[in-house]
Amino acid sequence: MGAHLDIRGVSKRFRQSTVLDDLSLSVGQGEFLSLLGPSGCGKTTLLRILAGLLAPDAGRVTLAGQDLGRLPAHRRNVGVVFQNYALFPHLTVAGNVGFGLRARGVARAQIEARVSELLEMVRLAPLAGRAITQLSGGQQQRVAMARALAVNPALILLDEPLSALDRKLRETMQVELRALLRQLGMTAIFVTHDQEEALALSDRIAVMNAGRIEQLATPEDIYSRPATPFVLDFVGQSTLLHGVVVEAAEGFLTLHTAAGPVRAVGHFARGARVLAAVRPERIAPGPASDAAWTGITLPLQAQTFLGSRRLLHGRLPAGDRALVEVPPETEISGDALPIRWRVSDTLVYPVPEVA
Amino acid sequence: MRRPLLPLLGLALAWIMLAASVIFLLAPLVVTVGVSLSPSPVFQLPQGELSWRWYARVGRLEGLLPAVLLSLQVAAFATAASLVLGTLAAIAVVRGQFPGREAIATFLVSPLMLPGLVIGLAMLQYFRALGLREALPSLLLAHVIIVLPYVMRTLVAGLALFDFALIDAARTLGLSYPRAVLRVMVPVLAPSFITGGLFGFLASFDNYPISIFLTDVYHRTLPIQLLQYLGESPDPTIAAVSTLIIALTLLVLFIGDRMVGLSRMAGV
Ligand SMILES: Nc1ncnc2c1ncn2[C@@H]1O[C@H](COP(=O)(O)OP(=O)(O)OP(=O)(O)O)[C@@H](O)[C@H]1O
Ligand SMILES: [Mg+2]
Repeated sequence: MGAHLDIRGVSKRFRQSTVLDDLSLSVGQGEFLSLLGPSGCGKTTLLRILAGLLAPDAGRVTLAGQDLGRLPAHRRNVGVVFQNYALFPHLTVAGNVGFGLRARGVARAQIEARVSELLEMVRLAPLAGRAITQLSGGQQQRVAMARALAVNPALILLDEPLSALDRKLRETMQVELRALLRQLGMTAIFVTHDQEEALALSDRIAVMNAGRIEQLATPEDIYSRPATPFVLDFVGQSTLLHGVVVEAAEGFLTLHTAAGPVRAVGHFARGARVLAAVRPERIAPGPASDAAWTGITLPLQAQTFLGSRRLLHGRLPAGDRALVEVPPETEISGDALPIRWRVSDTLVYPVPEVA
Repeated sequence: MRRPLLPLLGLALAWIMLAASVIFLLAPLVVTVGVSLSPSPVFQLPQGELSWRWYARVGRLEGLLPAVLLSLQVAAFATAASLVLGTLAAIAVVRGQFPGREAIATFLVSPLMLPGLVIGLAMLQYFRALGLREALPSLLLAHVIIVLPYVMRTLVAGLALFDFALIDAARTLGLSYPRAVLRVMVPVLAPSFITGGLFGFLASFDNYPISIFLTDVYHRTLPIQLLQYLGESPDPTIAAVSTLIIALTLLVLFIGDRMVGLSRMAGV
């Protein structure tokens, strides 16, 4: 996969606040990339820059080898599905889908053929003559998709296209949307602040925070190898233990934490302050039996039953927390539980020294 | 089962009130039309026979045609100028981020809330102070002030509900910014343009209190000319002219209904 879209050092400031901070990103042909991040981290701003609706203060964007810098929005051939869909209320479903073709001066017969092809694709053919105001949320979403795809864009940008739908419908639409884009081989950037959605759909995820990309990786790596405490915290849940490195030899570490000694893999100096983390499903009840395992004895505080599993919460000093996932039928007795996990499953992050 | 009496009474009362209002509003119009069709030379409803004689005299009324043309001209100019200025002002008020936006919006709509006499007198003195003594430019300027509030009011309301992402969407679909505005914003806001424009046009066309201060013998707008006829020779020709104006208004409303829908026009 060569870089189809290349973003180099893009920055954007609004008055005092830096919204995008020297951001770089490459997207391959046909790739489905999610931008995942909290509200206000600059996701929409980046999409608007890519679409040509906003000029960056610095940086370069190339699409299919062409520098987009001087191209205005209407000459970029970048499709956008807007957060609230932005469908034209004065046109019918077919009028909306055919809008881009008419703007490009395509012949009438061709427009009609292409519009019915797309309506077929998003299963809206019977509604071609409907007014936009007479559609449900899911139908509007599909019209917005069809409208953006009709002109066969080189890149499609989707700004939280499913966030307005209720949970059940959203899950159906996720599958549908992903299948459609894959079938067309469309390169897509998909903005969301729903981590499950990003994990489920993406080829790769770019986790954004405060105008920067914290980590760009596959969903598997984002989840099991988060690069920074921010990614760790934003995607999924985990046990967190603050500690100090007391032993460091041959890539193995021993940490002193409030819950007892914990072992990990990594390279840190002795005396370094670190944060150790473990994903809940990596942890099993029981004492660490051999050198491949490490563990603590967890003072139990509460448990939550979640249907398919049971979550155990530990009582730890402020700033630390413990979260263990066990099968729902597990009987927990007593107020302390030995738990263990593989040494290689301990994630270790440096903690900046507070001055 | 007995139906409760009170709601029935209320309903009857509501219908009576409605009928009374409709009669009260329509009666003068009916009388005007009737008088214009009566052969009698005094203001009288037709008794049996109908006649077109007053309509035949309309064309021979001295000064009528110039007055109609002047009124149409002034109203058309004022409406066109107000649509352009009002749209720009409304966009600034709705989209702008500067202090005092509310105050400016209220100020631009305020002529609707002031007595025409006050505005007319103020304009006269102001134009004199500026050295503007020509009747026509004074009339044109004043009528822009008359029409602008109607356009502003409907456009501010329309723009406040307008989703500017639609313009972004049109741009990403291949239209340049000006074309996107023309192909998306104008049709979506057409009801506001048409409503504001039509009501503004009518307000200018039948304005008396402001125009009276600014006209001279060579430039009389239609309402002023009509009032003069009434003073000089009160015969039913005036009723015939009024009937024609009523017909024109009905035509305008009919076109408006076709293009926008009367309920939407009245709703703004
Ligand atoms: N036109 C603008 N003028 C000033 N500040 C802006 C403008 N557009 C965005 N911002 C600011 O830039 C920051 C990033 O906005 P952006 O819309 O890109 O966030 P986002 O990641 O899309 O958030 P969300 O998930 O809420 O949609 C926000 O703090 C926002 O207030
Ligand atoms: Mg956003």
